[in-house]
Amino acid sequence: MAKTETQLAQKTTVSIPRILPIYAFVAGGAITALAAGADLIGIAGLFGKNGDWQSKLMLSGLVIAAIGAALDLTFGQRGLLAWLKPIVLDWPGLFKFLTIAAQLGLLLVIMRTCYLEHNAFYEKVMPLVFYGFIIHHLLPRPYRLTFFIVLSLAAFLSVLGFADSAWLIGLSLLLIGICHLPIAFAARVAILLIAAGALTAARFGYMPVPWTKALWPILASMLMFRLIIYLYDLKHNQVPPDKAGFAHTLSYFFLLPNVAFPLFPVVDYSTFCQTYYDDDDYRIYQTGIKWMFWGVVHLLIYRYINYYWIISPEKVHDTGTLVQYLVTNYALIIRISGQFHLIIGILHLFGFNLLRIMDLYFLSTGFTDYWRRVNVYWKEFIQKLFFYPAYCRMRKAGNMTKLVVATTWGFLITWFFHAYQWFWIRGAFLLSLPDILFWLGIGLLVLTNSIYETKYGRKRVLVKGKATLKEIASKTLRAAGVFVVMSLLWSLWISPSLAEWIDLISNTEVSLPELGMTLLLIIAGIGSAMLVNEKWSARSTAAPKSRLAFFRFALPTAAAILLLYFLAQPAYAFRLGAKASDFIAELKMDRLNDRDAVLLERGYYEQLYNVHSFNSQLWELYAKKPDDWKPLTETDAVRKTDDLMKYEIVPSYVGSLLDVPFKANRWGMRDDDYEQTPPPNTYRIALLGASVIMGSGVVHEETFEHLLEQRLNREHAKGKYDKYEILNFSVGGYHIIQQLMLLENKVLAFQPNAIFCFAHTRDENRTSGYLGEIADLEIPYGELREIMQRAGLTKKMKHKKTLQLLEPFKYEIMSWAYSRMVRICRERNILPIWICLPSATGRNDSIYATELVRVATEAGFGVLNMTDVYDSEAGAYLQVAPWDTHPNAKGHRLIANRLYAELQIMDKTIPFAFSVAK
Amino acid sequence: MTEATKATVKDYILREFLPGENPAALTDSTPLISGGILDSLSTLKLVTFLEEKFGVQIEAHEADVEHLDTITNIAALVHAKKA
Repeated sequence: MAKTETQLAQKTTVSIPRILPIYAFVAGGAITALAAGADLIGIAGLFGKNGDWQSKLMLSGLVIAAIGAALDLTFGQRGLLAWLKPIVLDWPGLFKFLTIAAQLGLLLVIMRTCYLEHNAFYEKVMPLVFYGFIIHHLLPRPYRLTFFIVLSLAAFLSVLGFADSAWLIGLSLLLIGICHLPIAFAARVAILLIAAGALTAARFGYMPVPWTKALWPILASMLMFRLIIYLYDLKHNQVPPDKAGFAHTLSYFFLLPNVAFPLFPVVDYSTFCQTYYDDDDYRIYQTGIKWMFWGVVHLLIYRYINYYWIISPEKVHDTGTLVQYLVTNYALIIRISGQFHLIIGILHLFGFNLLRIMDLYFLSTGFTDYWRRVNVYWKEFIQKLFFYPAYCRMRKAGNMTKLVVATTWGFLITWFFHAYQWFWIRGAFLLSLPDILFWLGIGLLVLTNSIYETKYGRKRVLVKGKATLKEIASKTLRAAGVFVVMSLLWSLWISPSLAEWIDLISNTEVSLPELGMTLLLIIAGIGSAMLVNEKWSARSTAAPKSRLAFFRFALPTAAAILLLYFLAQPAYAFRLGAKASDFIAELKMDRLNDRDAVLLERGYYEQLYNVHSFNSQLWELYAKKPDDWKPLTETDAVRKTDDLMKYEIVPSYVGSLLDVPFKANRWGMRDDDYEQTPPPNTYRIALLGASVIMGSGVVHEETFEHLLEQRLNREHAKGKYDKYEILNFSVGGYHIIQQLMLLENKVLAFQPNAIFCFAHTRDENRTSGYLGEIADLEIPYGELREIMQRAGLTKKMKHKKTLQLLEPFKYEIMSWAYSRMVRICRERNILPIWICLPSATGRNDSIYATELVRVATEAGFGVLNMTDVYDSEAGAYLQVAPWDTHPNAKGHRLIANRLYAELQIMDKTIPFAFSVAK
Repeated sequence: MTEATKATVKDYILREFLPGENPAALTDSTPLISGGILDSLSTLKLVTFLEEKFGVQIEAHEADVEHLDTITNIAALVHAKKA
């Protein structure tokens, strides 16, 4: 007995020299990992300009680890052996782990190949998840939570950089610290509210902050709900002491995927702690892989709907387009679902066995059912912190009164928190009637459904049997009803105003037979999904997952991931035929849909329009846009005019635009200075266009106008002409009517030899929008007035209405403007060239150019269709910023080179300036 | 005492939420909330029943999986409240 105690004492009292080797091994491993992952977490700069110290440090780390391992195995505790032995000897476990790691690796490749979500996610966070998962699993359980925190902090550092990460960590620790102050609970809440008040003032911009705008959405999504839940759980001791602690707290707030997703599930603290490794490790990991796979699938389906099916409200005119608008916009919720599945899946890989967050909500058979399924975590949050407390507080009231008051309170809070979330993420409080009506509508529907269920009950079963066809049919009809109502409510939610939504619905010519057919299609679609789900869930019930062997459980997901991987590889996709291959290639591209692309572009011409809801990808881009990133019209580089021009560039202006210097010459052109009369034997070209041509976002020397002028002078001067001059008359936001007026009133005085009139695909739509704005002004062109009268345009008409009225006349307007331009040029012996560029940088939207090319050709322009100008650099980053589609310097070089080549070709048919070149 | 509480609770659950179901299929460890038998409305209905039947007061934060997920947990909660 005494001997055993002595042995125990020897075992527990480890001498420092004997344990040092294992510490050396861990330190060496950490140094190696840090040096190897320096690029990933953005600290490579610390190791010298060319990473000189990186390889040396990696080597040093490996040497230290090897020495540590050797000493540990010979003179030390043999801790390394004790650690690795169970891992290596547990063959089934090792094989399961490798299966999971392989699936994760394939998912990583798929995400990178498909550019899923954004580059911070697939280039930084996901590789960290992959490598982190491997190390995490190999670590003994007690060290895993700490490692998860370190990995999360590395992800924050990687995405946000040093300064912002330091602020984020500091502020979070401060606020978490306040929750633990040894003072009364109410006092802690009061201090937190004061801190929140200071942050609110800073978010509104009343107080300067030392961090960048990019930090706000992440900081907000980490703290805005989690602090409330954390405080509540602290107050009520919701987590048993053995499942809580400092590491749990830190890992709860610093959740690894959070840095890539500002819209983050509202994870409950007690659930987070209590589900940590509450099942077999491999089963938890495999469940995570499954959710991640479904996340990827959801995001790809989202792209399919977003790229091919979404239409703008202006296109809605009959039953078909109305239903398409309603259903596709509602279906975009699948993106949030995809993101949330990815997030929860990633957390599973680190042991957090959280519930599935969005569960077949399109198959909800009632509004309470919908509320339970659409965001399980949100429902739990509202239920736990607001619904239950409100209900329990009214002990003496009748059940119905309690239900009505508590439900109303729950939805009021939901509406407020949605606006609150919007404020922290976007920086402006969302107070719109459609938003209020949307939440009011859902609240009323859920309340009505709850009252019904309270009175008449809801069918519950202990053991789920096989559903009969009658039951499936009944569920299908109810689910179709919920789907239709939710689609309608959703369309209200995403409408800029109630009037525009009423306008959308009331101005659509609805045909009852068509409506009936569409409803039948919806019922058929939901019915098929319901049938599959019932069959599947009956099978799942028959063989519960917990009883399935791991590999049987993993096989369907692994097979599906493998299939997706092959489909994402061009070499395999090609075998499916050209059409399928093109379709897959299109789905793999991350881009805005046509509607959002137009809206993004319009952001420079008009006020921010229709990006207030989470339905659009645009809000994410605008959330990153710096506050001082203003379009030309919002700077002092322009001054107002009283005519159709609306504004013009201030002559001799010196300032900046979109973060680059902006200088105007004495004539109000963003260009070098030129005499009004051309020098002798000079070939002068005048450019007419909008912001891309003006060179928004690039310095003057990088604009294609400057590059082309330089090249013409370098390669052709002293030939037929002594000099070439390109005068840039373009002004950001100018439409064809303004360009026409500019030509007549300003350009001609500069005696150009050629006019290059630049157009973008869909210019006809933008021109219609412009005409709607100027309908109140005196229009000096009789023919244009006559077209507008024929269209039925009146003063003070709504934007959408003018677009609808002008839709049949848009090409006639363009044709009139182009013909007038050409006539003016011909009368003065000026060569009129029309050049078409894509709407958005980096894209080829030639399909939208066909009609415009026809109109320009018929008007008599020499036509250069350059809608494929960016094709040679497909995939390259060609725009000035993620939120700004103007071409960057590389984009301008592409335009300059292509234009030069096109002019050389054109010179053979339409004599330009090269004919007698050297 | 606990067994009697369990029997009362079981009887109530079967009568209110699972009419027509086989009583033997509802055991003391059948997951009620996590198994989808009790949703938020039926949980509150059960809470009201427990308060009235056993003369206890159940707080809002106790209406959760930890306390009400099984008949055993429910009986333990009632027992703790009455002690």
